[in-house]
Amino acid sequence: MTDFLKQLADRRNFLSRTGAGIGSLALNSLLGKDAKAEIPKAFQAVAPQARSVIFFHMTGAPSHLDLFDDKPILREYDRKLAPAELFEGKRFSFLRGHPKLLGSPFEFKKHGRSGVELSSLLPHLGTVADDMCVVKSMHTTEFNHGPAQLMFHTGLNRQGNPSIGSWTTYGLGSDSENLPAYVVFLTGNTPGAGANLWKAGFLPSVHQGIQLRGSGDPVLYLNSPKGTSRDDRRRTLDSIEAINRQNLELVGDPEIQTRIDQYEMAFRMQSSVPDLVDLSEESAATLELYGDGEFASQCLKARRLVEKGVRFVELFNGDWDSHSNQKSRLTANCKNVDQPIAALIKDIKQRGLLDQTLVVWGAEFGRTPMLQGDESPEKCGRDHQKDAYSIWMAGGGIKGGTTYGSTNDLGNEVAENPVEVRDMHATMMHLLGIDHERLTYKFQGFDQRLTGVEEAHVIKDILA
Amino acid sequence: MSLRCSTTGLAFCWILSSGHCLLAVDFGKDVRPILETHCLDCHDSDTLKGGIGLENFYYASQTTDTGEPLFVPNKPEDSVLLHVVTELDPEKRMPPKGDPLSPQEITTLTQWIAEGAVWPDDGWRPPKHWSYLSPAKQELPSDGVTLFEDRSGNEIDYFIAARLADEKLTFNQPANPARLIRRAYLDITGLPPTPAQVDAFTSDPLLPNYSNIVDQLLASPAFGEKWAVQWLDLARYADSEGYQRDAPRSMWPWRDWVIKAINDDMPFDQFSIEQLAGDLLPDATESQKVATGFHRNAPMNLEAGTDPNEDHYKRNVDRLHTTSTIWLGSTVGCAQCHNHKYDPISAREYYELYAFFNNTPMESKQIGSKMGMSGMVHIGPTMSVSKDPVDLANEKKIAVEYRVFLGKIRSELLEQVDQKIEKDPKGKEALPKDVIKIIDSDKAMSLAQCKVILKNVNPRDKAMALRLSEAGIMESRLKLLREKEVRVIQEMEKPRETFVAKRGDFLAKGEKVKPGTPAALHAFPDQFPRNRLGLAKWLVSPENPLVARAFVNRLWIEIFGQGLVTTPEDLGSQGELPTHPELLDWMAVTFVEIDHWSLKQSLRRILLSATYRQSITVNPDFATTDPGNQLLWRHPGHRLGAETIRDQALAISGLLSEKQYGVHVRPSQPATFWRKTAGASETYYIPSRGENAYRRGVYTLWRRNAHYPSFANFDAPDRSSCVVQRDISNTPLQSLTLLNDPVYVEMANAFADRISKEGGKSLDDQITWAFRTALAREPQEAERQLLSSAFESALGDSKSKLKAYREVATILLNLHETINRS
Repeated sequence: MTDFLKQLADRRNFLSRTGAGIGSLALNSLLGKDAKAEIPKAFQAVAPQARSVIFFHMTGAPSHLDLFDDKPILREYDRKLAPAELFEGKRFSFLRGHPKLLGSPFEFKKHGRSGVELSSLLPHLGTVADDMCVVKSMHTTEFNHGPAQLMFHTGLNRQGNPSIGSWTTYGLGSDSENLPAYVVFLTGNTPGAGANLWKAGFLPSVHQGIQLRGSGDPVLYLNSPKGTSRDDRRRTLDSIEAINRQNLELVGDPEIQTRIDQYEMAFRMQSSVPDLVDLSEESAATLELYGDGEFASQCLKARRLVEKGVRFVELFNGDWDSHSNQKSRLTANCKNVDQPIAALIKDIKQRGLLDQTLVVWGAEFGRTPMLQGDESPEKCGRDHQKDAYSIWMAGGGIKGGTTYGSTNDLGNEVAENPVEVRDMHATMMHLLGIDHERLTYKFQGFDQRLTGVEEAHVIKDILA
Repeated sequence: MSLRCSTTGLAFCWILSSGHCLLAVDFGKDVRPILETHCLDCHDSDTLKGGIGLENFYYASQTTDTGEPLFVPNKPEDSVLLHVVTELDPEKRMPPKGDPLSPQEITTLTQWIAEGAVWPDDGWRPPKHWSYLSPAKQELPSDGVTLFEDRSGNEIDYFIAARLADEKLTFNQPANPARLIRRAYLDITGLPPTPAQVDAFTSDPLLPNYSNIVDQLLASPAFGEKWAVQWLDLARYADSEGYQRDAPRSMWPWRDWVIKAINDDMPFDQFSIEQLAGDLLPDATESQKVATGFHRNAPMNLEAGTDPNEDHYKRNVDRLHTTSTIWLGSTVGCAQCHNHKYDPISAREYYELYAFFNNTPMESKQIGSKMGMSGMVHIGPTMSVSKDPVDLANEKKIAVEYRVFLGKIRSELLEQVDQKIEKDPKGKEALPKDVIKIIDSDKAMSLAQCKVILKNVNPRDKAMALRLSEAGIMESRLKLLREKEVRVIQEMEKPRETFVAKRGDFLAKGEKVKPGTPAALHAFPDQFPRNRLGLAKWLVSPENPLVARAFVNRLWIEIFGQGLVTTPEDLGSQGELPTHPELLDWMAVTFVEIDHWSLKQSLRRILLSATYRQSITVNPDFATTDPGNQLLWRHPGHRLGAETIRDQALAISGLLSEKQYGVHVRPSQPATFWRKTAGASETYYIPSRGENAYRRGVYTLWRRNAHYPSFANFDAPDRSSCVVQRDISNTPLQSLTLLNDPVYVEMANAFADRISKEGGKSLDDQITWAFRTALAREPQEAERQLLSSAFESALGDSKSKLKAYREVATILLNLHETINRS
């Protein structure tokens, strides 16, 4: 009976809904079954470099001009009227009239053997500069937060489409028996597009990101009600299983077996998740490396997740939306994230995991070379800019100690090697061993892709 | 572009000067061989790379993705075909691989175009896809239909039985009567039968009694509350705007309109016309105008800095996609940016359809611009809906509650002020001016003033801050009730012009278009007005081959978990073929011609079929032949929907409120859930109290960026876009929700209480009663024993009877059978 049911369960999953495909098989493994061996290789292009992804999203969009892309000319023409071609015929969220230029108040320095240039706000990242590849020629089509965040995560500017994390687990399943395959952390202001950024869209809903929370239950409803011991819970689950099994014997529906498995997985999660978020086993040196604060603790948890085979970890941090007070805001935000992110890279490197973990740091867009609002050095800010900004990547098959692409003298347009959002997605998929053109899901009559219908290019020059 | 022109120009000049063109070019002899050699590998009628075909006249005469023709007769310099083969950049030149075209070949093409680009029509047209042909009236199959035995079936069963017979399969045994009646209750009303209601059927389990019960259930008010949900998913109904701010919006009167219309069994054609164009009907009633809220459910981006024109464009695109998904069973979305690769809809036709929706006023605008921060506000048309006595009673009740609640806060705050004055040697003078002004006023303090007092007098009083937040929720609830406002669609007197948006970019204006429907679909009658009303009538005209098929397919999904077409969002050429094409057509024709677009009649037919009434038991041999049960050799016994799972548990535990309609309610969820996932408008979640904590799921506050997690875990969509079919997943998060969500824990406690009080005297009686209350059927002996020993061991450990009953209740609420159709 059991063998038959297992067979049936596998076939049923294989054939369910849109008729098979990798998704349903990967689904099996998300449900705690090892179906790795069965995942068809149709979408696999090359040997995977990375096994896991850690994706940082700086909600609100940091200024590339103050962190990665130094523009001496802007300092020279600081607070002079901007040339007309910077704003005429262009669309901005807030800038009106004839804006002035704003030079960065921060110094830049070359780091490491490779000499990657970074702002003085990022001293810790400087220590891992030789592992980083800074892409200075990112651009996007959207200049408002919600649509741009959706674009950055799903490849489209509207709601209802799967995020890159969902696509990844859909394609590759999970290597972790007891933890969700796609985990999300939030600190600070929440991204405007909300949970749409880690939803599965039209993919099966098991591929949605699961938020690990800082307070209360780390996973919603993880903890048993007050006064219920682990033994109590075990006993209740045993009774539920016994009756479910009766039903299974009678009806023979493999879905019942899956339900029994899910209750067991839930029980395991009740200990595996608290274990994961319990940092007491970490050495004092490690804790010190990451520093204090919620974001630091999330970075450390990200490492623990990746160690346990979790496929995709995303950390949102906000608020970086510096229309005003950009100097103090940037300083505080960088202070908050610089050390923990550098620590994470060092930590996974010394554990031999950096080669198989792709780290991506980015945001929905960049900021204008033009000054917005009050002109005083403390109060001034920058508006949104979609046409050029910077992100960086590290580990997992990325060529460290490099920069890719460049912007023009004022940093408002890409000068060479433009990178579209879909190129970034294609590159990330490539490093995971996935051909982005073949990772498809049939919906609304055609094979949907993360990278969409327009041609997307893997950025070969940044691969190790 | 300039580069391209100059190269073509170069080639063109060269041709003119070389004096080549003496003999006229012959298409078949001269041109076709060039295309065959260089182009057809990628541009034949099967591959159509880039949406371009050069194998026959039909495809060659279509425009490119950007809406340009491939060649312009007599104008080689304007012809894309020549641009691409003469391109200097080898990365961009066609063909991408192999040798470029020879100068001789380019000359031939150039001359052919210069001479008028004559391409004789070979008459080839793409074959019409099944779903674009009208559903045919089907004869009932007679072969192999010997399968009903003691159950009388209906027409549906002939079709199902015939397909089963093809595969040497048969129907299952009839379902156990208790299981069947539970299934019917849940499918029709979304609520379980009480043990007495089960008895009313099991005592007389024959078809006439069953049929009577089905009719009673179809007539019950709970029917609309269950069946509205599928429509709300399609209509992407929510109580918030979506996108960045995700602020609240008032659309609840529209949601109530849907529930009422479904309970009244408003024919689907009328249901459609009123929602798409109720405002344009002659002497439109209030209700018909409220109905147009349907398309005002589209998400809005009210993020400061948004371009209102762009958002307007995106919203109308959403309206077009939603409309085509529901009434055409297919997606026209691809044609937004380029000609639809597979279904016969061009980009131009897409914007002709779009034009029907474009004649509505702007719905948002920017405020306070200049150099500083600006904001976006909603300015779209709204209306106040007249209130019925129930509304008025509700309003009065909440107004009183609010007054009492705020009154208590006021007096406590004033007391705090007094204490502060007493303690401070400077007395009253120590207070800030704002506070003094408020306390010296004769008027009762407003909520805003209370907040000022708290901030100045006792800013650390978190409990009071929470109460003030709660008062804020009550105030906004009262406002929603008082205003009873709903957003509606209006037609502008002066039509807005519509242009093709090249590659889907609304700023890249192409050709100007007028409202129109795709040529491949049924004709748009001359007597219909070319506006939304005409469009609505065209969509539900009997000539539309898609509307009824899409409708009955959606019914089938709700009842059997998957459609007769398993890709319900696409009946077009890229969708799956129907498993039972004749049945789909028979049901579609019957729905229109016999049932006159009645949801209840069509549904009734399915519920009375033997197919529906069979058991869920798996026959291992059949499972080998048809593992997905697509041929329906058993009832699939699939999982209940998110709302039904909660509604059922509320009913079982005796907590369910039967109150209908009104402003959304807020079931309990973690207070910080919103803080972490929502926009700026409201961050701390305060649940409803009293009856409103136990209302049916259809009334639950639907916030797009942070929708009720217990529903999300059971695959309810966030309603950001039109959803035809929900997933039916089976995950550990579902187990955690049922075991630990405080809402379910409360329900288990209440159920435990009921078991001890209502279940009878002996433990056996109580367990039987509890089991029947949860699952309708009698427990088997083994099941009763398992529950008894679970009770005993919980009692043995704790000596607490309460805990022991709770154990039984928890087990029953968590069973697979409880959350599935049985």
